Amino acid sequence: MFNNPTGIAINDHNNEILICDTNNDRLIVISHDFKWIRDINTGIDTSPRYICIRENILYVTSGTKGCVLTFNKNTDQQINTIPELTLGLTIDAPRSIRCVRDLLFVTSSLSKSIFVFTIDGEYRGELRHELFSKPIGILFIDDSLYVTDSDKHALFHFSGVLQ
Amino acid sequence: MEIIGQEGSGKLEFKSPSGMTINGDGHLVLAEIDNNRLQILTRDFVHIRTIIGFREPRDVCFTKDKRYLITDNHKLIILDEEFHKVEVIGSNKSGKGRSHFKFQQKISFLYF
Repeated sequence: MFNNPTGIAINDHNNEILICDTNNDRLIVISHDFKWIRDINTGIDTSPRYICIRENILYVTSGTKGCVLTFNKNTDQQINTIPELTLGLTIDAPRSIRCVRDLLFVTSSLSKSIFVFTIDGEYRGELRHELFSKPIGILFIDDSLYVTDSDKHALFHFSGVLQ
Repeated sequence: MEIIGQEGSGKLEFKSPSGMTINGDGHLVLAEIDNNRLQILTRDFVHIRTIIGFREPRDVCFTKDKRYLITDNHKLIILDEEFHKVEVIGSNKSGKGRSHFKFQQKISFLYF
């Protein structure tokens, strides 16, 4: 059973499905034929929103903590946070996350921007557009970036962003 | 840069679009929370199909097995590539226990 589930990701190696069970502060892992396998506790008051997977690491946006939580995919243990807590930098209301070409892209629905980090958590900057109001979803296809904006009620399309 | 759509419930209009994915045809699939639907578009923004019957869908994913997975209210909905229901896990009531990780049957989806 879920409490406001949000983001979904698929582990390409074993086809397991991971679901952010946002208001239960956990990820739920199910098999490709939709059988429950296990829960991954993301921590008290973390509100996991969206998730992406790269190699052995799960990257999970925490709506309440203003960061990305990373977990070892094999042991389910938390590794660290992005950005590191000691840096004093937070992602205001992070939502969707994607990993492309060894970079992490995270929408910040309140900062009206897309944060960019290396996979090791180094802050590389933010993509902004004057018309962003509440960016939520992001998707890369080839050199195109698509962004949904839930306040603008629109879809943004940027081409050539990864060139 | 292009901006597609405006607030509304027609084709190529949106209400609170959130998660999206690409399907097996290479089309964009968008979940619209406040339109309670999915909208399928080509990558150059021609409307293909609208699927209704949801209750605040937030994210959508397309699997190698050609299934759509949609988080919707307190449920995970699984549809086949023709948008017929395969399974619904959970219900419109929130919960936490694994004992309640069960299937619900009384939901149908329409597309046009």
